[in-house]
Amino acid sequence: MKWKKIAYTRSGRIFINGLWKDNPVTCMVLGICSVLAITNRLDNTLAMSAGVIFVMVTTSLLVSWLRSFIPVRLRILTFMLIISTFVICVDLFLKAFFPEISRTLGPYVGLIITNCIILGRAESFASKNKALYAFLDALAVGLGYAYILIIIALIRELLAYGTIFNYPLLPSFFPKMDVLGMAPGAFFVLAIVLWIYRTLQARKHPKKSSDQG
Amino acid sequence: MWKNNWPSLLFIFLLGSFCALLLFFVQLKTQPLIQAHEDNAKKKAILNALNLPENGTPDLYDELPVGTITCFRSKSDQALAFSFSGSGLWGPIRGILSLEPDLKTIRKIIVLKQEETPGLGGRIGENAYLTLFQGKLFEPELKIIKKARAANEIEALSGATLTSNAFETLLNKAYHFFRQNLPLKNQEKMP
Repeated sequence: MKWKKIAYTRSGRIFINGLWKDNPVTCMVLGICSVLAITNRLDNTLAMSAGVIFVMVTTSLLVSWLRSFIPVRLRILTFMLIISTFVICVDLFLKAFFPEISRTLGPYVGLIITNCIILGRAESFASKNKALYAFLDALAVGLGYAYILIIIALIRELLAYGTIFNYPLLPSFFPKMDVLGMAPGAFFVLAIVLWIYRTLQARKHPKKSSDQG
Repeated sequence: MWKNNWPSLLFIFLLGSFCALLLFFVQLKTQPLIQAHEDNAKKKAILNALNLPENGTPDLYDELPVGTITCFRSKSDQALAFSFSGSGLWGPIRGILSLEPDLKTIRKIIVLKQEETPGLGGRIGENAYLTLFQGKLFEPELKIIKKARAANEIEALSGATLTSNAFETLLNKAYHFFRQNLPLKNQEKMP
């Protein structure tokens, strides 16, 4: 009973939208570059997801707090300034405390700056809403991004290397599909995940899926 | 124009200062750790380049000043290693080059830092490509070209001509600098 009530509050709706209805990867189809690039290993994916969630939450909070001061004509510049500051913080943090992960992620940490999800949420949500809702929205969309990435990474790492978190799981006679470890393989997995996701969504909300196009 | 825009400009100026300050403090806190990791990676690369065990201690090699750089000489087989740096296509390339005791044959090249195009020029950082350099000669000059045949020629990376050219130039430059500044005494001492 309680769960159903939560789903109808504003915060509950924000969460459901971010995680399920308007999932950034499967519905908005944003941030695909990073999805393809860093989902070959689960540890990379977790580091990347944590980075994106951190940048998203801090950016949304700051944008929401400053929303009445941000000059309309300079808003994209302001968002980029804030986003890049936090991304550099994440980059330095990874370099200092997780040098191994930082090395394998390479340029993709810096490329969080160009991740459209963050700019998109800042522009379309955080700059128009209270800090609490901006925070919840950023968290929900960030988690929505993270769990799709984790699903893709699980499939790719298991089938490409036979491991999970670099721990061998599949028996050695099982064929390793090297192609899934490379960027082209990510397209296949992403497409299949998108297909399953959209099918499930269309089944649950049959009317909405038609006008979503 | 200034009359209408000064609040925007002030806002951007304040926000920019805040971001700069934040980054300054984060940088201040993380820099020692990052530096330590880099030093550690360099030490490991030197040991690796000299074919010494990676967890070995620095007393496995001597340090000799050569011009403005430091050269590392393995105590067991007199091989030499030194660091090189120069500009690649997009950013600096840094690494360790080790030579056999004859001072012209490459033993190993390790790239510690590069910012070349991922997937194209970025492959100069991969071991699969760097092993091609093993046993190649700096005499008369190292060449990274298409269809490499001679002992001083290495196959260029396809799709990354500019990176290959830059890498060739900076390796030759580093080698010649090293040879010119190598004290003759040391050369005679080495058989």
